[in-house]
Amino acid sequence: MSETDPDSFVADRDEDTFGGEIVATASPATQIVLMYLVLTILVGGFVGAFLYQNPELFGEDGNARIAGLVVLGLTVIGATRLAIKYIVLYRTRYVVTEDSVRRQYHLAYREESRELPLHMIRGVELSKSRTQALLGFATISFLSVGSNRGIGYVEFDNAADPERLQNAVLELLEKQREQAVEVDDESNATTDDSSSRGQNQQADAPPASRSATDGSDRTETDDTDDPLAEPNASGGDDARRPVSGNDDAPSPAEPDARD
Amino acid sequence: MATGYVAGVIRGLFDAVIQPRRFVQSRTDNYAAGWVWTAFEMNRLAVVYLVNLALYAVPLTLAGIGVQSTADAPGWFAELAAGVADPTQLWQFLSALVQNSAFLTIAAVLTLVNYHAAVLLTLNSKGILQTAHTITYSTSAYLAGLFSLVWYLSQSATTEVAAAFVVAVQKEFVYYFIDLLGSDLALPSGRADTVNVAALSQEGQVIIAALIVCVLYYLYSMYLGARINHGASRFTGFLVLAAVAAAPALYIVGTILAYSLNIAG
Repeated sequence: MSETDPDSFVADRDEDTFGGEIVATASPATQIVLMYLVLTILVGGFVGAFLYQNPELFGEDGNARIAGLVVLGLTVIGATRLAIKYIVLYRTRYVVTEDSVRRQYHLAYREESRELPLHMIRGVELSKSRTQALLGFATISFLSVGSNRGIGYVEFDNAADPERLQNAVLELLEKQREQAVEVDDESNATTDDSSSRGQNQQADAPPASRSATDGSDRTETDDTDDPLAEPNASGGDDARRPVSGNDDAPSPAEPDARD
Repeated sequence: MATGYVAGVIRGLFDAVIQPRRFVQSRTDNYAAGWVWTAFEMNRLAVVYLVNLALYAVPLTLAGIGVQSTADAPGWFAELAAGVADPTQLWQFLSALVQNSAFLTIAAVLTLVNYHAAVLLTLNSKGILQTAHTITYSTSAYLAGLFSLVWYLSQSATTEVAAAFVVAVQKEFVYYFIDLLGSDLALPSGRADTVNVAALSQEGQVIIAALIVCVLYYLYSMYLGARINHGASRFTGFLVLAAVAAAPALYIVGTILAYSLNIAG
């Protein structure tokens, strides 16, 4: 039994998740962490060793030796932390599918995956620190509905080629929006057809039959005309929901995905 | 279940050393989700604290480090424990355990009061549970580590100089404020003796370095608690940290003034 490599893990995992076709994959950039790791070892190691080797630097009591041990201890802890971060990042993959965005890693038979369905995305945020801008990386946050127990967000830290990933997601969101509008239009057209057909039937029907229709047997046309009724409650909205999935209209506090 | 618990402890230790941010971070969504969740989390925090306290105090007491009791078991306890174990031994163990736990608990309570006062004064409080979470985790890891190292220093034969150095530092700290306030108060053990730090053994040096690392971690965890759990800015985080760091000085000054003004004793 051997460890699967990260890429085959991405492919294998796909069946267990939302199941859409993979549109784009990316790896987080490990260069920044590697740079910090090397810097920590070099600077910490040098300062610690220097202090330890010169015990009388802070007086004749040898306090510098203790300071050196403290620096060396913190260097070991810091380097271990960065090394773990490096390995985790190395094994992490960012995946954009037709249905979702997810970050996942697989290490020493341990898997972790955080996934956000596209229809729940309310905003895409791209931020670059100075170091990231210098090296051409960025962090992309996919923001979801904000509630205390909500899913929150999925973040692609230090993503290499961030614009490509962002554009891929924005294009998918736009495509879903267009499909939603098309389905909406189709359902409206169907409703209009049945409405006009209903009116024609009413006109042809004898007066007794017309009054019955005006009474308890409300048609879809009646629903559409009623300002208090749910718009497209039975047809249009249900048809749109699985595609767009936006149960709530985007509010100003929750920026639209295209922003 | 036991395996899961042991794995949890190992994971906690790993986080405490490698990922203090994750270690101190509270589950704010649970705290904000109504009184049932708040009560649940409070209960969970109490269990975490008690388990960690036991993990700290029981091995310490069993190893004969820290406070040891020589008192005989009272009659009611002897009757209660008869047939289970030797009542005197059990009583001595339990009273030593309580005393060893008391040091950490008092330190935790004092820190909690100072910390929350600082968070409230800087208008950054997100609730007492956020503070309790921060203090529970930081105290049960870093302060417990600090106390264990001090106990070890006082017991080990190869670290006598280091133990004397730690005692001298504490005495110097107290006498600094006594002299500053011009009080004639004196510690029962007198002023600090001069310690030849150059004569520290290798083990003593390592333990003192570890003590300093524990103090740094403890302060850092407080800072992280203010930043993450209370959403404080960097500056406010440092203010909270300063308040916690100043707490021992405030208690010493308060005690000196209380004695000088004949309020206490």
